[in-house]
Amino acid sequence: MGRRMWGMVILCCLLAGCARSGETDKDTGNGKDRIAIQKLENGDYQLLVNKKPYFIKGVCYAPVPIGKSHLFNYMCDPNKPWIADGQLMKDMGVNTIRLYQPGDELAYCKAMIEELYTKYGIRTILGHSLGFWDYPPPNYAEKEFTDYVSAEVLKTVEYFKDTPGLLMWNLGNENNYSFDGRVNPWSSPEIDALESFGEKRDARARIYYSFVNELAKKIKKIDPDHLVSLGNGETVGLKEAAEYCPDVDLIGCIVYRGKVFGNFFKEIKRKFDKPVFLSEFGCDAFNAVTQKEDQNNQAKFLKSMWLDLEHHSAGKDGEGNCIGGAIFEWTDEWWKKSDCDRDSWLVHDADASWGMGAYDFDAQAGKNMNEEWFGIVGLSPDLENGINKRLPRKAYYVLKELWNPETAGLQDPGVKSQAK
Amino acid sequence: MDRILYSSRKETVRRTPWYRQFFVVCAAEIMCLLLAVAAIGQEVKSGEGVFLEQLKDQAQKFLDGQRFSDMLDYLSGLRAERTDPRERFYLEYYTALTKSQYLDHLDKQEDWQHYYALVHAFDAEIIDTAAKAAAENISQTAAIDMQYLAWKAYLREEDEAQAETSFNELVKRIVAYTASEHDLSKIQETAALLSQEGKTRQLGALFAMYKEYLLNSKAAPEAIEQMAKIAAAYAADDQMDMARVAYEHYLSIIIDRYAPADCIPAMLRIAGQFRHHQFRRSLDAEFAEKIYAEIETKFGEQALGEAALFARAYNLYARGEYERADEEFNRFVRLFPASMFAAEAYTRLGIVNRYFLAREEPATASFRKVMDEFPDSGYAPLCTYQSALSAQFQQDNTRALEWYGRLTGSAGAYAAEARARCAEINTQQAMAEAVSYPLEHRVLDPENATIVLTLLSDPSGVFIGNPLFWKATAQDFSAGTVQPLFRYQWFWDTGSNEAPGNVPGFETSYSTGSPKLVCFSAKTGDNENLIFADVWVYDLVVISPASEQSVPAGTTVQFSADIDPATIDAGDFNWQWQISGPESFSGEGAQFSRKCEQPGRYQGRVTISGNGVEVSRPFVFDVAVR
Repeated sequence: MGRRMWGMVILCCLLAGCARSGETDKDTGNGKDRIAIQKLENGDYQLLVNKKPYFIKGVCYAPVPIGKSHLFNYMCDPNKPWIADGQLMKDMGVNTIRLYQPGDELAYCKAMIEELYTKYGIRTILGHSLGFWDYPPPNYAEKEFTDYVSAEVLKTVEYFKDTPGLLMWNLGNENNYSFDGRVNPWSSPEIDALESFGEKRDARARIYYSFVNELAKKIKKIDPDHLVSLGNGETVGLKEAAEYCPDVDLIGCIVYRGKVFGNFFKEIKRKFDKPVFLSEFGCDAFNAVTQKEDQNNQAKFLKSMWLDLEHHSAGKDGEGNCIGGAIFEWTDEWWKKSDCDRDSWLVHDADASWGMGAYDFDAQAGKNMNEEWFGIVGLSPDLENGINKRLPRKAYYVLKELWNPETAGLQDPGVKSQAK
Repeated sequence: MDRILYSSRKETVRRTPWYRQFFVVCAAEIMCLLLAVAAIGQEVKSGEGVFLEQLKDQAQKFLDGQRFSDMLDYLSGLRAERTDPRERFYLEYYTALTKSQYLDHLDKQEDWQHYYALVHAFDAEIIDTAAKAAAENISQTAAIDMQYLAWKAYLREEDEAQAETSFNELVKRIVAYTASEHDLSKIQETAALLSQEGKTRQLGALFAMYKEYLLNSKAAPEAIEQMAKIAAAYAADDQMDMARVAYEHYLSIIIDRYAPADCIPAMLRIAGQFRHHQFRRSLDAEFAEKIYAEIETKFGEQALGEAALFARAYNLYARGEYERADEEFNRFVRLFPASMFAAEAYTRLGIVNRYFLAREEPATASFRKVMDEFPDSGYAPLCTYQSALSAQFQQDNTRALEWYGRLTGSAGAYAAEARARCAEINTQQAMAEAVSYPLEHRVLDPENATIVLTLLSDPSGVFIGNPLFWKATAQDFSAGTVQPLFRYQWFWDTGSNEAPGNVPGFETSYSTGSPKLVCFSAKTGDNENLIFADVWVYDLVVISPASEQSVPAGTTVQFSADIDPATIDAGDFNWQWQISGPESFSGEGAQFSRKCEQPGRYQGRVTISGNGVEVSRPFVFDVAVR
């Protein structure tokens, strides 16, 4: 009788185990992450990964070494910069990186995404520029072009959809800045026939966002497990985006407004009403007035920006639609002054190609956005393990205190002995 | 009864009563006891004093050498041996000091890895030690020093409220110490530290409290002059920002307390330290002008005197305030025509008018005045040359040759230039461009001309669809009123209206809300400058009823609208609602409610007005049959 009883108990345990694993399969779809957007009762939005709230603590990742340009495919670098970077990111509390493009060598990209996830738990937002910076230049009014881009994107989706660590897709970057014809202008006879500038701009917006929407629907058919984000510059074209791009799950905006984001989240809520993450935001570490590195102001600004993002996350006092952001950027890029002048790639140029008055610590310089200095990690010409030695800036540590507070102060090195 | 003592003399001696002897003996013993206690006390103090001296010496040795870990090891060793509460107090004090300085060191070195690993723990300890120091009240000066460290700790922790409280406490302690000990050292030390840290506001607060103390204690002039001495010491040390803060408070006391005969010379002395001199540029000449203006306001035009009036005019000239400089130099020569500075004043008037204000007539007149009435002045060659230049430029060659001729014969100043100009006239060549260009364009240094931009638009309260007029100006102050040709450009944040061309102003309206960033640039030659402006473009948004909403008849409908973004105060506007349909009604305010009984289609309009704005938005809703 006793043995039978024990047998029954063991059998019940086995059955319960099977039931649980069945539940797991159902919930996670054969072991994949379950990624979803949840709208709360109060209208706030949350990103959920495996049913847990996930606030994107991200960085834009493009670790171009000193002496190289954006054409260098770091994903093929045998020194694997993401190994050193991944550890630093993990210590800091980064949970996501944003990649602008998968690059030409998809296998390398896939391996990197996987390795960042398995080693450090860092997920990836994978983007596609939708041909915006390719040659020939984009024309979203041309079927041939859009068919070509669609095919490329869907091929990429098919390839990456099962990659562990993939968080979501991000379609486009600042492609909407082409609507007014000043960046990568494109047109069609129908657009040209329109009378006013505003009508032409609105027509381009309709065409572009409709294309993105169709693409989003196709992506979801191939890959129902991942969210699709509309990449947008600022809130430009938001009204048209809401009308013609309703099938995206969220929007990822690039915003540079200084210490705080003003009414940005309110505007998104009013006009688009989907969750939003900042696919780019940041502050450079160079003071265009003093012409010196300025880590203090970079840290101060980034901290303020981050606190503003948190303020607008679910359950807080703001708009409740922010699901995080990706700081621009992880490391400095020394090629930004000129993608043609190789000599300049070896110099940490202090040129500022544009200005933004809201970065008031050096706004009086006029042009104060020093593109080569946006990293929260600087680069040294000295190599360590085959890559430029990483020099975390003050912003790294300040953000670490916010993103990974449990580890703050744990590694107490004590007071260093000074050489006598 | 007196005791009878033995005496060699056979006489009766009256003895001291016993109680008197007892009293004397007791008093003597008490005195000895007191002396002994004092001696012991002195001995204790001396012991403590030696210990403190030791600590100070070691601190100087280690901390000046940035040997922070050695200092902490040393203190740790002492902590193990010392049990006296006072000594342990000082050990804690020096530990806190060392840790605070170590954090400063890491900050300066930008060694963020170590800084962030230690800062919070160290700051908590420092704050805790400061609180204990205040409670134990062992040493006023140490408590003050600890309070300063605690304030810095709160700043590092970005706890603004506690930092403010802590600083106010620090200042109170310092003033209390100064009043009780008549010792200014703590004020001076703290002021020096604040200046090093660039904490001008806190420095002002410190001196403000000290000033209040001086006024409330009806301090004698000697005490007030102490503040001037502190300020003078800073000025002598070239710490002009600290000197200014101290002098400002000092001046605010003496202006009301001193007689003019004492006040004015003191003010002029201070102004003299801050103004521009010909061979010494000031970092804060604006303060000098402020003092001159104060003297004139309080004591009248005559109070300045010859030397001060000239100094003031020169100061304005050196600050680039050319209109004001012109006024003051003119006033000077009017009031003091025979002054030894008159020739220089006229020369400066000529330069200001020719090169900065583009007023040729007064410029020529001024140069001629020196040339004709002060021929022996050191400024005469310059003025003669300038007069001749003017004549040559105006093609009055006879005069030009005559005046150049006064210079060509000598080996003195402008001789070579005059000869070159004469050669131009005699060979009928044009003036060298380097010479004529300034006269023509009034630009002294075109390579380094500074373009100052001013945005004249006031883009507040802009609503979608409403006109906004953007206007900006560009000025090159080195060019005077004859401005170079600027090329303008306007940049927009993308997605907005088409950017206009080379115009200083234009009208536009926005069709989308959201902040706009507008940039105006002006360029002349290779010089360019940019100015940015942010503008919020607002939208009036009907929130309720939703567009084309249908509500059952008899429902109370909420009407509400909002201004987006909410950075503008909706209460600044008048709100009017007009609804027409099966029944017509109106409403006021950003929201109101009304029961709608009659089914049918309703058309409404909400309008806001005020602050020069009128914006309205239509909306439609239906009331359905129940």
